[in-house]
Amino acid sequence: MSTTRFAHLHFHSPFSFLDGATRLEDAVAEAARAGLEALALTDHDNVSGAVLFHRLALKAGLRPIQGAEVTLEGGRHLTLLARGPRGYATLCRLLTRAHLGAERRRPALTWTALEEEVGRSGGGAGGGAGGGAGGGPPAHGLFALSGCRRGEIPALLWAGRADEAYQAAARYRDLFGPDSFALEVQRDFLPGAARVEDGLAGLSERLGLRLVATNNVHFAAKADFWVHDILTCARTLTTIEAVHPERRLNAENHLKTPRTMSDLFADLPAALRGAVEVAEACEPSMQPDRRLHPAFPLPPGETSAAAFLRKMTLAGATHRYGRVTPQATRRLDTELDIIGRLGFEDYFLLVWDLCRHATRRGIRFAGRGSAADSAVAYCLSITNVDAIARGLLFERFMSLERGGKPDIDVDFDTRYRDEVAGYVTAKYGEDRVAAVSTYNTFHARSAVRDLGKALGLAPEDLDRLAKRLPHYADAGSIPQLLDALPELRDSGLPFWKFERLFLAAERVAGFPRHLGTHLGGIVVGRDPLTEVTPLQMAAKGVRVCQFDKEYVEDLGLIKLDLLSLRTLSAVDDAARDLAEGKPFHYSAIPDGDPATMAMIRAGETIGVFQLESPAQRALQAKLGASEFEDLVASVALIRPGPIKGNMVAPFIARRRGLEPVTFLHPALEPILRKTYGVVLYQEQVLEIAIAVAGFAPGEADQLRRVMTHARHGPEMERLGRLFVGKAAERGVEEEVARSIFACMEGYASYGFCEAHAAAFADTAYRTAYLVRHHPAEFYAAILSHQPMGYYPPGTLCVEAKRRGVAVRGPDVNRSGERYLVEEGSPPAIRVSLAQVKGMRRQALAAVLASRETAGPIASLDDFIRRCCPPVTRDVAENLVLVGAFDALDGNRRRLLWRLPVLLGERRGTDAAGERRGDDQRLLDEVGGAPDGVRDFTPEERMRHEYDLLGFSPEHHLLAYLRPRLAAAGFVPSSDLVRLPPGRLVKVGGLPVRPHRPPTKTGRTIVFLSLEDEAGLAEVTIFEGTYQRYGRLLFTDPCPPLAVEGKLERRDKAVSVIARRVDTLYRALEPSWPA
Amino acid sequence: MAEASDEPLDGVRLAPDGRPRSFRRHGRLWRVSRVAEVWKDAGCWWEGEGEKTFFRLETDGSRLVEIYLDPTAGKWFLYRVYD
Repeated sequence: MSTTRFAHLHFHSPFSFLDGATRLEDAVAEAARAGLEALALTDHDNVSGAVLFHRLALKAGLRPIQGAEVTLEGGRHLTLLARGPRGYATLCRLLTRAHLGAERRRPALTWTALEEEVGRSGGGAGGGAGGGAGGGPPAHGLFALSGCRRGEIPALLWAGRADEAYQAAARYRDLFGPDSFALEVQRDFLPGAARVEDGLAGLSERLGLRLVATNNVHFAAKADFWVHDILTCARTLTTIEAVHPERRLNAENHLKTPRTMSDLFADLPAALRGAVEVAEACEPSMQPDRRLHPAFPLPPGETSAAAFLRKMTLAGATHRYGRVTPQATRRLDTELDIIGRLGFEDYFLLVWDLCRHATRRGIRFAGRGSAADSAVAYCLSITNVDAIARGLLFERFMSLERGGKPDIDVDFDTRYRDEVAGYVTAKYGEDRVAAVSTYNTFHARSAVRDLGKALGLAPEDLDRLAKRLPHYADAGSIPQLLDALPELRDSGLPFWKFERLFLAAERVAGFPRHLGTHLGGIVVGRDPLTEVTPLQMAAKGVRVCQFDKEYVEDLGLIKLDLLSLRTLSAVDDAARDLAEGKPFHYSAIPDGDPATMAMIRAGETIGVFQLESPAQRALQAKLGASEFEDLVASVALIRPGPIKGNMVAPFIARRRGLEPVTFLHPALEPILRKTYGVVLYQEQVLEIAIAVAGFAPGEADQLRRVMTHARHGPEMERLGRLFVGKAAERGVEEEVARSIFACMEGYASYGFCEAHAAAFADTAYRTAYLVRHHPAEFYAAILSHQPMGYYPPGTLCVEAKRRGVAVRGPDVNRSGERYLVEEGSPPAIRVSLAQVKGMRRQALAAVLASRETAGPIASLDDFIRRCCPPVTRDVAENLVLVGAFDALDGNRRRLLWRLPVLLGERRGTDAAGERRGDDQRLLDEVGGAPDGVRDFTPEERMRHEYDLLGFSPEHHLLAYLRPRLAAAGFVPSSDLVRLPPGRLVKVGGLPVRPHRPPTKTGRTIVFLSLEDEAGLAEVTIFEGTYQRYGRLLFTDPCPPLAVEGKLERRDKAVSVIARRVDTLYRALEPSWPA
Repeated sequence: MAEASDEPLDGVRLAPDGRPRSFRRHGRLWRVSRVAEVWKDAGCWWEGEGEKTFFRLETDGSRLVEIYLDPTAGKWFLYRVYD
């Protein structure tokens, strides 16, 4: 620990987005180790790191100073430090104005805005740094420092404009106050530093301004410079070989120790003193106890949120239950009491109100998550899970003991989610509502692309490498992945060229790269949000705060998730289509429909919400799902935790009666009966703790949280002793109590929230009903809302056909914006015009409008006359190639030949006249009249469709290849179910979603589906086979594949255990298998 | 005008603070009367270059010169001589 006193007042973390090269955790640890008095976080134009920094610094015993390096109009920098909460609020307002007053991603604070905000807070001749001589700190609560070389004053001094520098310094002094504006001296060994420093010293003397020594820190250690330099190149879109003014000339901007700074400024001790004085005058700015929760505007006549919430809840209870039983009343009273004591009445009313708005507007929504543990939420129609009927514990959602903030998540029809968020904004005010941000961090793929480009590596090599890296891969794990993954190991990529890249990727792993917008999270505040967070504009045109969901709560804000769920959009479309022709009400879908359950049991659930993945389909067949509870359990079972924890097989065995259902204690029977003695849901852990050991519900939830997050450690041991002791007091044998605790411990980390599973299972069942009874309408709807669900459109089309629904290609007169159902026997789905590659919204609207006003399109000529532009030549060509004009002229090649000529005629003698001449010459060369042109072969037509639609509506590649495949011994997917288990088979198809879920052993197992003309063949590839053939599986695009392997059957679930994998075309060569 | 050079220098003598006090060029002794500026340049670190330290010096002959220490080579070089 150094005895020299110093504080770094200018430090950039990775939250400076590509301009900070040391993890905040590491920098804070280093600052504490070096014995700094304080550290000020001054990222560029944001305070996104503030909460994390605050937490880390306090833990490390370091004083955190919140600040930012603000970009002023003209690109000049100014370092601002918050003396405390008031200064932090001023800083947030200034940053907000910098962002919202300028082009997105180019924040710039105008002098006027600076004057207004600082002046409004009461700037000017404020008090001393220590709150001394001048009579306390100024109302704006800031310290301003003159900044780095890009600060206005240093830049003027460097340019030799001393008089202007003097004027500028005087201006800042007058604005912030003489004790709140200081001149920043940086001895970072840049050319011209002496001139700048001499100038600053002169200004200090003439204007009576404090000098402060800073080091414009961008990385902790000198040795980190190279990482920062690469990040700078990535930020400035240049390469290390190129010169750029923003690249640092040397490695001096590191976190120098107090001793080093003292030596460096030995001849200028006032600057060292100045830094310490400023630091001493700053106190932590974060206020963890602050509460900015929204206030719900009560209707006239209502006097309190609590009373109004009770009124609405009871009204809802009558609607939900008809007769409200004493049990229900007691439950609602308990919930309302807890909600009231924690002060969340306004929050519930806010969510109730926005759900009511959605209902009035006919917008589909469904509450999910642990909020479904609340009977109040159910009565308010926020959720559709009857928590009382299911016996769900409210304390899983909220408890006095935990006291944390509740998190209500509601899914909305994707198309209207923003409208609902807009309603909230309009109701509470633009300054009180914002989206929650996300920190997009460096993963392996993004690190390879960004840093590789900065290092000047070949783009094609980087692309190949990035595409072979798993999406989730950590940027620090690339060298290990090269050994472990065959698609990388056997890729032939020149890895020796990438050594520095991999080192750099490891160093930036997890660094925030840029700020994004959370898909659903919004915060609503009682006061303007700019008191605690700057706001900026997101790409989608909404205001976003600078903190992610983890940190907004530390600011005193409460978040709610308004999520988009395309399934609800599809349900809405299907329900509307159905309601047109016959009486149909989605909400009135009958419970336990036998045909629907039989379909689920057969694992035929492609397109069903949450139940469609291969693992889910196999589970349904193995489970013999027959009731709603099976669906709830299924949603909870197919998760990484239960799979990794080997929970699935024992559950199935008990469910099917193949294993006895036993209970360690009679008290467990009512709790675990529905899950056959297995602890599957988090709520069950709570119930057991209450029933066996007499825990209070809130205590029980604390136990669950510890079990989930910190299973090994002293806290867990303490809880174990407490549980066993309390259970023993209630007469439970100690050994039995210990076994029960061990059982809970084993499952709690894998357990899933039952309320959430039940909410999803409800939608799963209803969508299954739609698939079973209205496949044309529902598949048309989900095809219209891609991307959604597990499968690509081609697979959905195959499945629709398997269910007897015809699929017809796009037609310029019959297709719409969405996939449409054409009545008939069989009914058919018409592919939408939007599916055609390159089709833009405006062009599509023009086609539809033209049909509406001028009637059907009579010919290609007519189409071009009416729709081009806005339909471009490329899109018109694509329409021809996918058969959209087949009904008018079936010869696609002839139409294609005519197209340029027709387009030329349409353009007359304008600038395109020359092109028309070329096209005409071309036609002449190929033999004159296009009438003589022979159409594309079926294979060519199909290839065009795959290229331009992603699939072939009326054909399938595998059907085309089937004769050759059959000759080579390949069986279609539909035949697999009829073949005996153990038989060696060959299957081929288009690979669908090869994936490697986590396994208990850690060994790789790859699952993929092969789509052929009849459906899907499920393939399992174990480690050894994967290591041999993995290079074929995880490439982008993945080619059609052939698999040879042993047929395995478990109940109705059939899969091929691969022994050999190859591309389909190679497999059709006579030499395969060798 | 300045004459650029990467000419090796011999006999660079340093003051206790590590700054050049004198050096020899073409056999002639150049005494440093003032260190006007010091800066550092990381150079092409990706090619293994070390961070060079540059000194802009006024010599007792009223000449302005810039010299640098290349840590990789462990040698001093003349960088620029101003007319």
